[in-house]
Amino acid sequence: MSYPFTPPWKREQRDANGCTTARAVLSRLTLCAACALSACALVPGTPDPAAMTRQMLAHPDRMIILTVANSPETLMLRAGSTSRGYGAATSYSASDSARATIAALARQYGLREVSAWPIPSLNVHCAMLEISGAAPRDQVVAQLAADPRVNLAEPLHTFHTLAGAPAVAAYSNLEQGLHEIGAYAAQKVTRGDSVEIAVIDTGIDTMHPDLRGRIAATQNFVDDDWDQFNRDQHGTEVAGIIAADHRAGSLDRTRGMEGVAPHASIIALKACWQDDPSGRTAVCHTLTLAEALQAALEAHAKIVNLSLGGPPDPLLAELVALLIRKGVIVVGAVEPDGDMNAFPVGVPGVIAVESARRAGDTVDASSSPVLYAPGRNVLTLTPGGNYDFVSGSSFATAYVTASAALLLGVRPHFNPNDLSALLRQTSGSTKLHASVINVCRAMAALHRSCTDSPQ
Amino acid sequence: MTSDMGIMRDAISFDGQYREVVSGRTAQMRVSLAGWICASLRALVMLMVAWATPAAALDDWQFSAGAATDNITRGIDISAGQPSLFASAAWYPGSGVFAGASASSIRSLGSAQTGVEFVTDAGYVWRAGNDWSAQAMLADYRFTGVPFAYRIDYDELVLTAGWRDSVFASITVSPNTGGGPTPRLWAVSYDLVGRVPLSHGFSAMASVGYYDIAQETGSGYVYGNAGLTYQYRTLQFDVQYFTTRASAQMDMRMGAILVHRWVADMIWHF
Repeated sequence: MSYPFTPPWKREQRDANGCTTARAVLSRLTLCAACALSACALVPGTPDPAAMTRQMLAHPDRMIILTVANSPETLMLRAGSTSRGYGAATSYSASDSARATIAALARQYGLREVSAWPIPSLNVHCAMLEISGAAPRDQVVAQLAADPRVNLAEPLHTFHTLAGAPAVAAYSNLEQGLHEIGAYAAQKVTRGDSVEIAVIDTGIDTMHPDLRGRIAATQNFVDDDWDQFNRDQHGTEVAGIIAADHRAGSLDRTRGMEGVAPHASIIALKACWQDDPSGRTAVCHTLTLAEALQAALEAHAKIVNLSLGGPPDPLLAELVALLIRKGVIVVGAVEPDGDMNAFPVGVPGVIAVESARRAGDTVDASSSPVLYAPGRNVLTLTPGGNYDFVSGSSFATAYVTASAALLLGVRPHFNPNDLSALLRQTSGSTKLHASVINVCRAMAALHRSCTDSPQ
Repeated sequence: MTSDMGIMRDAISFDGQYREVVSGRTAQMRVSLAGWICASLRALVMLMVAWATPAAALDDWQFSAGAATDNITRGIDISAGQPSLFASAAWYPGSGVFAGASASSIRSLGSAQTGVEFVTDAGYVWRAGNDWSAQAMLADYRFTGVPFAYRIDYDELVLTAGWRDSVFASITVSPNTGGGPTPRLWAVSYDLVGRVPLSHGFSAMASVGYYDIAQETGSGYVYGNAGLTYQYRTLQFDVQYFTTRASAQMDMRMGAILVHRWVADMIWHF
């Protein structure tokens, strides 16, 4: 800072009283700053995910999600200076106005705040509220949606991962899926080096030998139980198909398996939790998924894998649309009933994936809005350093995600729509399936030398 | 007064104007250096903004405009106790990179002219979870419309650590702070800012800082402010008391521009 604004002859000498006052005021200011620091308990902290999940599970049918505008605030970063937009990056906290609005809405509509969390990328403050009285949830949601202070109001939605029971057969087709989609040939061109993939799912066994070095980051939006995170099944199975790398992990190279993009990096974002002892199925809800999507954006993920499905959700749709606008490739699983309005596949721009139909079934792949990939009896990792065969569109989704990572390995700025179109155009039939993606043919279409042996 | 860089500056004349004799070569070098820093920063800002995906570009911008009863920087009055208008634009695509530009009206004591302070900044913010953040920023300050504006332009490197967007500690280093009749030298400031959210749209804030300009003036001074912020939708209102504490020597030199006063401001974000 410069200080030439007063020539010395215009200096005003202050009297002794003035100096004493200044000293007193300054000491109080220092005290205020110290209080602001020591009063950290007053500062709203990060929501406790475990407590939030417990409360949500207690009364899920009484929970409402709403968002209000989180108007930007000029944060004073420099002491003793008036606010004028100086160096203020986007605030990640709720603005005073947003907090006041949520509190006023809760009072007016008889709601209790369970958790609140700003979503910086959408400039909104999001809250999960529980209906205190006996009013029906649909009625309260309708009233809130009509309130001009509310951006969005919706019931708390529940989503499920899309894994089914595997058939006890075809064990001889070890890693058949990789051959079928041309992944082994494509890996001679690229192995997806450094492409960051956000897997929004359950936890992942980060200690699995075949995932060693493949996990770039972990975040848990469900609870603080990191042991359970490493025991979670569905996320481990999905991550295994994407990025297992037996060469990196296992000393015994005869063991282990290879993922489609064995050099891709996984950002493990736990937004779902297992709801049965076998670990086959898992559930998630709107708020945990919203937090995970925001985290994927902040982590600069190139691809987001959503091996789950559920009802259309306006908040999640907004976040996914934002990711797509920012060039992130979002891959989602189609539910078993084929509902294309469901989340996430109902969001324009999401690459929808179904398990490939058996050879002989009728599939018009060129006009279908979905891509097909192996999703029956595919080999993958399971927690505890184990392996198993799994089935479901969850895993077909993982194949497409990893194939996208390989394609980003040769063309880093691939547009999501172009990538989807390329995989569709280069899909074809195999001995096992009526139509399935082929990443090697997709690479060849990009003028990269890739020769696939016919299946 | 003669500096070690060969600049000979005269004392301040009674008509309030600086008279100086500057060796042409040194002045040219200084202008080149300042111009290079400024041009580099602006090029960096433009490059970063151009980098944004066009479809998402508008989502990444924030604008604000407002007015304050005074314009104060580190406890120094830069609008001579007069109201100040300001506007700013900030670009933050969410990837950590940010850039911005702002303009605010300024005025010299004893001058009827109203000038403008332009600030261009660019930097990177790192976040660790939702609680911790760190920010590195380069800022370029340019003045126009006030006497000898070119002599008070300066640049800064600011390193800031933040906790929950409520507590910020920063250190600022400037290699070319100009003090009017003295040569441009190093200046360092240390800031600690706290903000506590209250209810009904209010927050309390307090800050304290130390501006080390010993290389130029032989000492530094303490500054700070405390007050309340109220936000109603896109409007932000601040009322704060600003004060400073300087040594007798510093007080003699800069007393009239070191503030002890209430300041109110209103900011509209759009």
